[in-house]
Amino acid sequence: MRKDSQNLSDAYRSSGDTFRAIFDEIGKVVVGQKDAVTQILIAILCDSHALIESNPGLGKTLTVNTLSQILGLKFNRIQCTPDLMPSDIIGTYVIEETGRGKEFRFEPGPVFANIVLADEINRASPKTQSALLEAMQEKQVTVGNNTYALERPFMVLATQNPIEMEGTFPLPEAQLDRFLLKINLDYPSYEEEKQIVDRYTGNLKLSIHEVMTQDTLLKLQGLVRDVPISDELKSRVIKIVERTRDDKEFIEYGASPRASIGLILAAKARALLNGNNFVSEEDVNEMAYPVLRHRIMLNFESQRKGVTHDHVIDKILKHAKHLS
Amino acid sequence: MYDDIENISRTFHRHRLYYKLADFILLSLLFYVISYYLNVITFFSGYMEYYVVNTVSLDRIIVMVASPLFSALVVIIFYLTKNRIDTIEMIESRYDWLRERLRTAWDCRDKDNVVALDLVAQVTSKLREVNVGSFLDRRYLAGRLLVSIVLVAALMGLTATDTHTGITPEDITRIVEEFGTEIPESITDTEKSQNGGLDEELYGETSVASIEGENVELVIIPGLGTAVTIRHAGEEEELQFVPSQTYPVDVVASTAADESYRAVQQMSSQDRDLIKEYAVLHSKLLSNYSS
Repeated sequence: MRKDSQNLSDAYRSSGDTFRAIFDEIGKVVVGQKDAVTQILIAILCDSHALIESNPGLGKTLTVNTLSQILGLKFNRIQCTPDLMPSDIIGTYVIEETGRGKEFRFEPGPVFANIVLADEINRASPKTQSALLEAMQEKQVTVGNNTYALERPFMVLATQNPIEMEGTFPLPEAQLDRFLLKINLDYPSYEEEKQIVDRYTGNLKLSIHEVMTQDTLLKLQGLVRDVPISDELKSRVIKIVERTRDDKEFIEYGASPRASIGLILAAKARALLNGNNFVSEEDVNEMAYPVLRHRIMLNFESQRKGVTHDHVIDKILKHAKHLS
Repeated sequence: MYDDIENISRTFHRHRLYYKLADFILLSLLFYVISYYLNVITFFSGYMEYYVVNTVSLDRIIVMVASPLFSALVVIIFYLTKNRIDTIEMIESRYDWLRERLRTAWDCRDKDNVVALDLVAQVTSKLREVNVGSFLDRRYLAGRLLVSIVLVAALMGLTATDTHTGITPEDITRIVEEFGTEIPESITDTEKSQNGGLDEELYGETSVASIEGENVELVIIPGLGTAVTIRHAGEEEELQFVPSQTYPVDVVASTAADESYRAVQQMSSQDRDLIKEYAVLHSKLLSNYSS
């Protein structure tokens, strides 16, 4: 017990250096996208999942793959298609011939990894989506009469392509709520794109190093929940989420209490990532956007006026300043 | 950290006590000076015969006690309406590094994990650097002290020169009565009326009242008893006279003779004879002059 607390204390004291090293390593491979990388890390630290919405070719797979290597985690990618079956994700039994004869052996699916990238999840059928979502929620899969636990840490990064929504199966709101964050990836700036071009059109070989172990990551996930937050900020978070339910000008349906939990957790992770030992108002404000944008359903009026989720969240945050 | 915050909080409460004391002294002096100048002591002139310790009259004592009492009431009400002292907010407003950290550490002071303990340790060490004395508003106290000195000097000057305003309590009462709702005696005193039914003293000049924002004239027309007619100010109402069917207007006798006759009937027989004799003599005199 004493050794555990000592290890935890060591993990805490070295967390600042650890995170700096992660950003340095990932910077060798991924150009820009600092916000996206931070938010992915926050989702990992919160032991939760994230939804990435971006146009093709913005380095989603590269980013997640690189992060997995840096964190010493096993990474699998699932390309979702309309004909993808649940067994293609969770695994199935295969008949294997052994010395004793033919036996059924469970062949685990790609979901048996630490980080799973489900590309274009909205192309998979609702049945396949629900199999993945069940794994996300329960952190285990059931095949036949057997239940197989997934290795910790376990994280699903699902992606959606915003321009090809026709013929897809958009995730229902109830399922979207299971993702902690919705991360928007944007196009790189001119300077960033120039760097990308220089890096990936030459013969430059990039090598990255593992910065932390699985064990350290699990300790950091525990530390995130220990980051203190004031009662005043907690109250502010609840009022922000409440406001999404009360404001009927642009919002059809507001966020659930899961959003309050998610926002506080994400703010704690952001504080720890920045080397702080307390949650500040800035942490809450910054995390409000990725936490709330997929949990708010806008009404027709907002669509007609071209009001986006981020505009609405901005308005709510400004109003929340007067509430606390 | 808990002890440090408690100590600082106690100091802040002590500072507020100093402010309250300064306000109390200033207001007491101010009320006494005003009372002295306005001759408030004459309100209690009934007590001037009584002395306390054979030196100071009771009326003066009453004024001297009323001023601090009133001042205490004002100070209590003022500070009751003021916000409670929030020690943490006050410290955070002055020390940037402690902003948000102190509040968080205070709210999570009972948590026993490595991150919370680290925060509490950092905040506790920073709290030792807080200079509590710097929170005392010396300018506020100095201002109050200065004004108090001026008031003391003013009081000494007023008492030495026995300066008072010309306004007396009777003047104040009269002013209050003029602006008050007291009804003139001629209307309320019905015993003075000598008419059986008609109160002719009700008749007078047309007065203007304001009803629901509109100015209206209140006119009591003679002969209609106490009925009131309301017409809007500025309007000229054409009065129409409708002859009575019972009593034609041109043959209605004046009530004056009737009233005189009734008055005479109520007199004693001796008085009646005297009046008759006078009337006869008077008529003889008038007939002598005419011839």
